[in-house]
Amino acid sequence: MVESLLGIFEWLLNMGAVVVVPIAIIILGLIFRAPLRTTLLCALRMAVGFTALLALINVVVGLIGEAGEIMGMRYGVGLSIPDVGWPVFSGITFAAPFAMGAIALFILVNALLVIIGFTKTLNVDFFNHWIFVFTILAVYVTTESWVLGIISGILFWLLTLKLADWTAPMIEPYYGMPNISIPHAHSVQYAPFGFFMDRVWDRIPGIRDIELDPSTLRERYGLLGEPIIIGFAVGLLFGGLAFLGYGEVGTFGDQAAKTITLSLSLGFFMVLLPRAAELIVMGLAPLSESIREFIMKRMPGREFYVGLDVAVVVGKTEHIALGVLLAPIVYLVSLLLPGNNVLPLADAAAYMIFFSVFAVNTNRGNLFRGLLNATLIWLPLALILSNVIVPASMAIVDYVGFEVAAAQVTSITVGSNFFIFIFLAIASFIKGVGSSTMLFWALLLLAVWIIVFYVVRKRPREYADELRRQE
Amino acid sequence: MLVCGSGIASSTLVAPTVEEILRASPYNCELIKGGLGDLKDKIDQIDLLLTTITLPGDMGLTDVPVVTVTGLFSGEKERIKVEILEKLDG
Repeated sequence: MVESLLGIFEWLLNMGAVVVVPIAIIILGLIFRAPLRTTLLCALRMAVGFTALLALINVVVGLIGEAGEIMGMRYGVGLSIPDVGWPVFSGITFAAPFAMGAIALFILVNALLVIIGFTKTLNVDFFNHWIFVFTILAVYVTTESWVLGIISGILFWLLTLKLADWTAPMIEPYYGMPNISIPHAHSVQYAPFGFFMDRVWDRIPGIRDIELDPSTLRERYGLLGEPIIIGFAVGLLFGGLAFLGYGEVGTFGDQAAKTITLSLSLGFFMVLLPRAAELIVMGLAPLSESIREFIMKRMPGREFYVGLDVAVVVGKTEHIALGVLLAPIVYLVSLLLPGNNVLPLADAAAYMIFFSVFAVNTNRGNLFRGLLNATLIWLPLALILSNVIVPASMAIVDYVGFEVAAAQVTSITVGSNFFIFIFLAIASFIKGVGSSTMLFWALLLLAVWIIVFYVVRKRPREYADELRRQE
Repeated sequence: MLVCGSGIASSTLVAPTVEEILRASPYNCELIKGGLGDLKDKIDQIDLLLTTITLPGDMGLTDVPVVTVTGLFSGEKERIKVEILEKLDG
């Protein structure tokens, strides 16, 4: 009897996310009193979403892996690690059985922190909490220490709440949206750099006076760049460089066929990826709603900011324009950056607009400065770190029980969260599994960030007053 | 039509609540979901635009009534329900 129970348990764990997460959903659904029929449907949607995500990753990994390898042999550089984007990595994170419970706990504790006055932000953005769970997982799989993992995740989460409080004064005058703040880790951790660089550009003659009008740009480049076209074009370019004129692949006909197959498959990946990710989010929706209602009903009349996804503000013209411009620029940076192996893909289409918000809203929407900030700081940092994070990411993929072919994948979104790298490097060093070089860079980055933050610590309030005076 | 920045996250999260509101209305509505990038293609086919984000000013939205539903994240369901039903009546 005991043995067969153990057998069932082992089978469950071996099946991984596809089975474990739906069960977790059903349990949480019961606790937070979501209707049972919806809960069951959600559980099924998530399981199907995971299956779809896994199939998509395996397609893209196989194809890019081969092309990257050949490029490496032919030119000595190969962007062999595809960036499969935040939709995949959030999905992988939600595949950890405890992910949703942890997020529910984060939000509950957040409500308590608002009540005791530690923070004024109540982050109701259930979905984007995944990055804190990812941090816990990344540190755990690297150091095998849950304690360090959980400490890192909590520190990152607290820091993000504090940064949301800090930037909150400028949100209303800039966007005309009262009582909200942006505890969106990926973007808000760059806000100090944005304010700091605004002062730097102010002191450089020439650059000081340039302004770029964003309103004309969108018509010319289309809205956000169609993902299908980005996928197809990257496939054509990348496949062409790898396969065309390479005899070992076969005749010219074979070479062309491989190139076209790669282009169409990447187009297919880019079109279907959002659908797979959407299924997973659909599975989350009623649960996130029940938890939100549960907490909102119990909040006393204390005043607080409703913390939301940065997506609620990206409709501003300068954000869309910068998002569109960065899609080609990220390819340029990926080729010029020494030691880079990451081929920007999903996040080149789906992330740039969110990522670059604080590159341009910290300087009165000056697109030229936004472009300089993003090209010189935001993108290189995110790309370098999306290389560095690969081993931890792949260990997480393994931990949640996804079977991915031997090749590697990453996400620029994950890389852009430099605090994950900082926590990971420090925790690895403590546990004796990290290198001192990593630790050095992490501490340097942390020191620079702290100094920059200190210099501009009063800036959001000043800036908010300036914006109000302009109106 | 219900839109957010990417068409993946926030629009999907509020979709069930929005569907519930629409079902309670006397009209027979069909909900299309999407991101900012889909809006341009579909703008001619829709009667009401629901959004979780601030929309850019120059999208040719003059003919379609817009309701911002971001408040659903902070428990303002009743207020938004009233607003949606008013716009549907108009």
